[in-house]
Amino acid sequence: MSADEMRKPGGGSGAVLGGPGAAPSSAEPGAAGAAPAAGDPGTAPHEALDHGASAVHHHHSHAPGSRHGHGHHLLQVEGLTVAFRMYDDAAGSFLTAPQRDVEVIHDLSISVHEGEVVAVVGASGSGKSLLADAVMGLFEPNASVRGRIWFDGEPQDAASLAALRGRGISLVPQSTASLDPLMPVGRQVEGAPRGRGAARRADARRRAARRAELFERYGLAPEVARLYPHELSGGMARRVLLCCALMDEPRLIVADEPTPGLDLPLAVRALADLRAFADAGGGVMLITHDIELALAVADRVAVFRDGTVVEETAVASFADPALLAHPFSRALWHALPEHDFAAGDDALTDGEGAGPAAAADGGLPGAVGAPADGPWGAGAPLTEADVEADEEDPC
Amino acid sequence: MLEARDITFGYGGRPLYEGLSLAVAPGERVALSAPSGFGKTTLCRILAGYERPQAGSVTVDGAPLPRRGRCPVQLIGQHPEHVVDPRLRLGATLAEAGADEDELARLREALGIREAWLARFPHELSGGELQRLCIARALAARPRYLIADEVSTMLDALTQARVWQVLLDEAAARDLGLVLVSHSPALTARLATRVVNLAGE
Repeated sequence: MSADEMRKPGGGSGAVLGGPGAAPSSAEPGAAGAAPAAGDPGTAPHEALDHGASAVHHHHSHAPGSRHGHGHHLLQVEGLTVAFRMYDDAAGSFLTAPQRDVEVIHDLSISVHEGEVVAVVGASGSGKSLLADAVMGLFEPNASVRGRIWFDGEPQDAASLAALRGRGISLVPQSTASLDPLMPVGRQVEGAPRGRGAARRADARRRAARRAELFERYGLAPEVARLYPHELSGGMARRVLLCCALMDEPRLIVADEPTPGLDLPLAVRALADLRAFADAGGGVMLITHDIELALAVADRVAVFRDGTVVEETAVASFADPALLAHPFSRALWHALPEHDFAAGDDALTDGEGAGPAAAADGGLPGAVGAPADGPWGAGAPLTEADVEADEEDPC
Repeated sequence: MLEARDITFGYGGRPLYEGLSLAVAPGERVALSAPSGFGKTTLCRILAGYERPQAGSVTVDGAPLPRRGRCPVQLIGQHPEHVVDPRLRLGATLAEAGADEDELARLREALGIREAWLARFPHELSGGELQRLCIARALAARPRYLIADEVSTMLDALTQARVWQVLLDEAAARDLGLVLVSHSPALTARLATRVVNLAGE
């Protein structure tokens, strides 16, 4: 099975999105502003358009800080589908179990503008991190990934995404355990110099200078560079991780649950650096399960449910449930303790079970929306239309 | 009445607290509030008998916590993956609490725990699913008092609301005393009948 089937734009069977003012999958002109010519893998047409001041397009609304630098999104993902090939645990014996594809993310679309923090909010275990992996070009051997991704207006495939990793798109990992425990943090931030001979020495000096600049900007003393990760406090380790991400001057940072276990004021303070990065013109995709945190630091919120983004909206829309378009977003609003603390007995999915193992459960015939699952059940019906969709595609 | 009297405790060095006292009556929901690093989790562990105080006592209706057997004070923590045996299937983990089959079935139903999970190992469930299992286990031990230490931090808002609905229903039905720790002021305001500021005492 192929590790990466990231299709070029115009590759054919991508999902048809579209909507008012957006027809990204129907036209693929070769150059900016040129007439539509379907199938040409050049600059995406829609990306070349100036979105101007249109308030809503691509199914999302904007925050005050959202900017279309050069008339396009910094990152645009459309129709992303991630499936894993795995053994069917419904079979009696694992020796004879057939393989099947379990789709964990389907037809997901999300955009990140310059100058904004977009929070992707969903239940833990629901596959949000797979979105981060897809954007970083990290694919598991048994994964098949389809969809279209543009970065800074350029269409990307698996190889170009991998090339952008650390040079344009950087990851801030979830855990400070991602630091090498046996290497002083200064060297980890600097990374390996490139080139040979004098060029290599010049690159090493450039990196050391850049590292010193970053340390100063984020309040890390120069002597911190000689410390090992276990000698740092949690907050310092987090800033070191951020310095690692910023070392090669990225345009986009993907932060995957960067503040586990911190209370809200601490988490907001920890995210102030990401906020500053966005204010300086970068884009941040913040992946979290904590909607209170998302509302505190983000400009826009993408609500993630059952492997797709059901709504992308400005944080301001969470002031009033009437401004939220999707029933699941409204259910989230009502579940917040400062609002109704409502558990959503009208059979909304908790999304917990969408990991590969649990998705197999949800895929069992009859398991979808079965009464025994009650309000907890993955894939429990939301609307009539959803029931139908679930039956066709139970994962 | 769950009573902690004149508790002193520390991990070497300076004690976290000296002479700390707390009383929780059945039916009460007491929120503990203190700055980060004060020792809220440690106090929860002391109340549930996981740690012995260096001085002072913890009693339930005047009797000290039992050294062996079922403890009338059950703790539900923040990291469900740390409180289950990684090599035990979850059905066996749930059976540890010693409840009968009907009671377990009722709790599984209330918390949405699927039959299929019982044959799995802990790493095969998500954190939220495992937490629901840990809550079922704590309730199956027929506690008189329940200590909930950041039990919903790892959950999304909807699951959090659902888990607390079950906990509140069970607490009301059994007249449990509840001690809870949460970093969210909104959640505390929603749940607690009384807030104890440990740092101020």
